[in-house]
Amino acid sequence: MTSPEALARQAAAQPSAFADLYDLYYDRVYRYFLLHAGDQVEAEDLCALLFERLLRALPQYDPARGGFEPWLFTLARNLLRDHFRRQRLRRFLPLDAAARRPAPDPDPEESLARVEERTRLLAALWTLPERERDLLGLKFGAGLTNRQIAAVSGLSESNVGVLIYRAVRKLRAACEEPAGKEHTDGRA
Amino acid sequence: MDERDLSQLFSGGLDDPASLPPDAPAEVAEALDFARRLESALPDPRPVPREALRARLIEHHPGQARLGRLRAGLELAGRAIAAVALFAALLVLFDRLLPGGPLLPGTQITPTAQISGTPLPLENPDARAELERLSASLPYTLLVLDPDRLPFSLSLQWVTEEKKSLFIDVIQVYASPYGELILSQTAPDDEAPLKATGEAQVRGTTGYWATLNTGQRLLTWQESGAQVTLRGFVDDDTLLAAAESLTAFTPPDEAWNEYVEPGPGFAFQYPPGWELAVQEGPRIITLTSPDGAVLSIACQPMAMSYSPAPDLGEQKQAAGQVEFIDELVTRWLFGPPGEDRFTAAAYYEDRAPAARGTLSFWIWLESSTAADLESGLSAETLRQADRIVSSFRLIEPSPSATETPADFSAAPGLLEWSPDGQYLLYLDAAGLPRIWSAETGPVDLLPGLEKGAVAAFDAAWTSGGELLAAIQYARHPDNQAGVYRIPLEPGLPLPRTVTQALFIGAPGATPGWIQFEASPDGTQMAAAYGGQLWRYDPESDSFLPSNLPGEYDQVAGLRFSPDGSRLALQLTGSACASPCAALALMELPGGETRLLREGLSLLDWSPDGRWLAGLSLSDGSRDQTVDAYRIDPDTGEALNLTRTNPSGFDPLLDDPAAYQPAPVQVLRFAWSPDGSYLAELRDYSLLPESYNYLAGHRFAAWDPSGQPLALPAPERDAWQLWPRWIQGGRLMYAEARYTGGMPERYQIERIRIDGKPLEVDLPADPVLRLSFSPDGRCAAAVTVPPEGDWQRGARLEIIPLAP
Repeated sequence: MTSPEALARQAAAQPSAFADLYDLYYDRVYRYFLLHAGDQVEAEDLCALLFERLLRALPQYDPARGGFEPWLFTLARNLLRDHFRRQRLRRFLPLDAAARRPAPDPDPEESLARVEERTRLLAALWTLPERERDLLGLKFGAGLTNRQIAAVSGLSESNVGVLIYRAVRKLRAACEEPAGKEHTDGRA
Repeated sequence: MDERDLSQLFSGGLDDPASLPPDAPAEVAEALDFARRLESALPDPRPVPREALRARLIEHHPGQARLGRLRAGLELAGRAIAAVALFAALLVLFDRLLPGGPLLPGTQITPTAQISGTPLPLENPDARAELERLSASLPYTLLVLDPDRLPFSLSLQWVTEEKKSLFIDVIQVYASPYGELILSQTAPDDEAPLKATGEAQVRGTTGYWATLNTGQRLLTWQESGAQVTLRGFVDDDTLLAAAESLTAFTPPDEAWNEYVEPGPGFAFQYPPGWELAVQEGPRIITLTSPDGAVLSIACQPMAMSYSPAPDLGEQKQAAGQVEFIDELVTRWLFGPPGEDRFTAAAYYEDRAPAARGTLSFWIWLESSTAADLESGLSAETLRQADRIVSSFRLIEPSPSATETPADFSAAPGLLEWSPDGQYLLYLDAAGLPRIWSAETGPVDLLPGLEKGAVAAFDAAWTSGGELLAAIQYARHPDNQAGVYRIPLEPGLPLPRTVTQALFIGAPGATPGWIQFEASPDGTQMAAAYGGQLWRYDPESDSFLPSNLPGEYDQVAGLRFSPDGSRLALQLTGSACASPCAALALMELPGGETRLLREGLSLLDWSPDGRWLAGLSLSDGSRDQTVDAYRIDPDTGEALNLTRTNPSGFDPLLDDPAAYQPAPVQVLRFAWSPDGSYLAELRDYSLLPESYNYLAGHRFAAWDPSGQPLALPAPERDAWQLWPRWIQGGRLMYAEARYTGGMPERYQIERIRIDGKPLEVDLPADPVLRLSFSPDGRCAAAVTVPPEGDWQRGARLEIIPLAP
């Protein structure tokens, strides 16, 4: 089986290899973005931007400098940062159709319980600090290993493990919290 | 089993469920079960946009032949086209709307493929009229489509006089009863065709507007009657830089005014007739044009670093290729208002390296005047706004005064006296550390700090008079913070040397606010930032990270014991409930750390190192009790100092059994050199009838055995006291009244020692802060103008006291 790194090198030159790369990573990238965007359409937009950037940036990828997956998700994190920075600018604007955009209709084949669970989980995610949300996105959305997350985030591998474990417990507690409870900042 | 072990079990279980031992703690198993639910709850991507994007990317892959791309596009279009769109391009008002834009007058916009058209039924006559009006006035637009026949595909190409192509290719469009259509475009580079994908979504809208965004190439059309929206984005830095750079500013014939912002260090010019106003506090400068449009300039100094991540934009910025405000981000034109209120606007944004970190600018021009809403911002206003923005330039911060310590920091975070009262450390307007000497007055900027250092965040004096300052060193390649040793010899105002900085933190880390402490003998140093504790290791002569105990992952305070054998830490954590704090103790030199007491914040060590002082936590309520505690650093036992001496109890009037003291809040706490301690309290039983909750201050003090000391009572309506034990065990304090404004300013009415007023010349201007020297010979006051720009007018005044 071709390694991601080798596939990435081929994908820079061969459309078919790029297609394989796309097939391999689209779902993981999509889930990672979904955990940040909370909206399928926005996640799809971000996917489009990321893979377009990837198409341009692939020739610069150097396997000698690191694995492809950390590289790809570093691109994704940078894209997210740019995206939210631009969103901050756009908040001035009356044209905020995106903010008023309803969630897409659920798949009729998707069970109501699953939809409810997803809604609850995504809502609870937003109660977490950005760093923890990002780590959960890299772990459960992107499917990276702790070592890969360490490479992306600059944390140590063991620290990644502790932080993810802690974030999962917080998320679980937030999901079980009664609705309407407010979170306040700590102040000594 | 500590948390690290639990997290390892958890991580192992995620990778391989079979690896989880049967006797694994229940909390790990539950967390694993929850994590799997989280994974399974995430929905699969929707297939249509996924496949559409795939096809488009493959089509435009560099390895794909152009012919193949065209064929693929046609095949895709053939499958997708089921409805009709028509773009028309009119450049009548192009000059007015897009001065300097990439689409030059005479640009031809032609569809590359024939798209059959079915006019959209515009039932709303106003909408139809507006469509016609916009069709005649906008340089390019407009979309007409039939929602019943979606999805569809369309493409459009136009060629500028510079022979650059903009190719919009709508591959995927979703139909809906309401027919919202969203386009996104990207540009591989400014020579290659620009691409677009799009999709439409179902939703009802009531607005009516058209948007023209040349920076991001956002084309928007929304019509209330037919409920159709087209949005297209070009989100590409290359295009922005190539196509939307502002033209270089050339001074106009008429005399323009100049505005200089000395603190952050920038200046710009603006034309006569535009009114300028500067907001206090968060810096927002507004310029109002003669026709009522407002150009707002928000400037914020930021400490930023750019990661070496494989992001083209980041690399570009890290390489220093960003020019100062050369980018027009967006221009917006909103059509006539319906029930909502719309504006015409232009947006600019940029960051620039400056004297203190990075300046970040957000600039926007907007108007909601009736005339502008009807026709958009006038071309002249836009032209002048562009010129104002392109006239921005960075300037060197104003040089600091050498005779008097006048050019004071806008955010006076530091005002620290040396233990002997000989020197005062303060920050100048650029945030650089400066020293005032009781013997000679201000001294020159410390040698070696001018270049590279950005801001001193914290400083510590050793008992021998050596100053250690933690300084953000932003121009260091790794953006690390440095600690400088600055020896100051009594009688010699100028420090002779500044030793090489020791850097704190990992390379590439972004320093945030740094807390820095040194032991009195200067041999031990510790810093906290970025959620980590960094301790000086003499063997390696470097700062090394230390682990924190328990759930706590943030250091909120740190103090070395007087003999340097222990480091007390105030910890907090993102995981614990609010309010949240704990005291921990690190034994030195080994570094073993243990939790000492939860629920208390750290104040300081007693002079003999026998006790720690702490405060109970507050949730911010204004009438909540905050008690002071004396804590045994060996056992963690805490004695409530304020409750053992309840305030306001009158044995003649009150029933001891039923007496409930009024809430008191400890505002300041200080140990005397002999071990006595002093608390400045806000006592709610003393509040005036108006319940002016900032007044009602009093002192409470106890001798080392815990017996209350009789102290003078300050005036009840004093709002600030700034008490300090001075040498000889005397109490010095000021009485000041609130004068208003933000930040809060106080007028000093008198300064007292042991309750007796001193005959001194007090500052005429209100003060933000006051600090008495340890020997009581003088006080340092940060004064500000009573009104107006407090940041620019802040001064440091030394008040001779001679008690």
